[in-house]
Amino acid sequence: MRPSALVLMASLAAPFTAAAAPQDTAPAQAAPAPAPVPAPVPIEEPFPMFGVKLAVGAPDGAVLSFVYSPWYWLLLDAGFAYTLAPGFVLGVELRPIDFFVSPIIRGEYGYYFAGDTANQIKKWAGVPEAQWPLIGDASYDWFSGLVGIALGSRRGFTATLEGGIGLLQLNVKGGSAKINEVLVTTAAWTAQSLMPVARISFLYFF
Amino acid sequence: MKRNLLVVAAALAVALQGCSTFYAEAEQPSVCLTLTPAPFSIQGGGGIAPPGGFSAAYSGSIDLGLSDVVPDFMLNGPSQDRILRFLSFRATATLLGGNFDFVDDVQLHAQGAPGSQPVELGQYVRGSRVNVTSISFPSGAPNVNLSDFLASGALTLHLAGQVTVPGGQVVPTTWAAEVETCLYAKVHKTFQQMIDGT
Repeated sequence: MRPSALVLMASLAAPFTAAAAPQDTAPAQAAPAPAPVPAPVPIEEPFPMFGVKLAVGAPDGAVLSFVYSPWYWLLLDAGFAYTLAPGFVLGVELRPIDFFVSPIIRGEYGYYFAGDTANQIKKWAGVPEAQWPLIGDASYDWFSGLVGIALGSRRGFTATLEGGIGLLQLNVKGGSAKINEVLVTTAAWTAQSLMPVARISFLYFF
Repeated sequence: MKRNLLVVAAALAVALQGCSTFYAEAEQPSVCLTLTPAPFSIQGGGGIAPPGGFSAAYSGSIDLGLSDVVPDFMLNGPSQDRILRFLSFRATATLLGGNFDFVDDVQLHAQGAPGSQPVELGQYVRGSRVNVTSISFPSGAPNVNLSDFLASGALTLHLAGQVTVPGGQVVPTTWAAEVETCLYAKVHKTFQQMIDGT
């Protein structure tokens, strides 16, 4: 009885042993397997760091800027500008989200040299011609803070629409003129305005 | 739908609030007016001063003619938003070699529309100085806003004082000087005031 029981147990255990056997013996018997090939990891293309931007706005006028972006969320720009006179605009822009639609926070400073600004002031303000000599060359500069949205790819072309508040200062040289037999002499004077600002820009990174 | 209306209403409210917040202002630190020589009448002048000397009052007015120079926005709106201050006065002898040794003192007042209360702007006392060819003094009332005088009509400077002529010398009926007066101007307008034309 005891041997028969042993045979039964051996026969019951045989399938498990047979199943396990290939695992135990396979490494010794199989040819060396090729090294496992890792799944291809997508190589992330770095964000482009340089771009050009064309902006139109108030008080910016038309601005052609060169853009440098050390990180995808930070853009620094410096550009040549023209409204009533040539000038330049410097800007710092934050784009916290890398997506087709991204919010923008922007700060900028602009300066316009004396050009045709004084003549335009005289015309727009309706200054009588006799008083024109009292208004000398005029330059202006401003600081502004804007928020807006950018549409497009940070790796290529984006269009942005921004609005905000700006503090503009007009610096005017004085002059002198004889008006109704009175000699009027003005010192250099300034005008300042807290005003809404807006701009549309198109940016291309390469 | 109600939410959209709320958004539009909020945007309009912000825009309207912005019109009161946004502003433009201009500041002219100094504008000087050099007027044609102005005569000041000496009461009882003409003739020769008696041996003991001659002393009398004089007075005269100068119209600054600012109404032709100052733009309209200096005349409208709250007076605290349009400021015109007197800075200084200078009278220079018109005759070569002339002097103002006979002018004992000068009181300068600003006068607006007829009947309005004059405001003293400054004064000069010669004291013991001699060979005075120019009388000048800064504002004695730097905080007085003259824009209301302009808005009410015309701004006139009124000079008055005392002259003393030593005995035996000719007492003129008038004395004259080229007068230069300097002013400070500042105007502040919100966008809302510009829209309203006030």
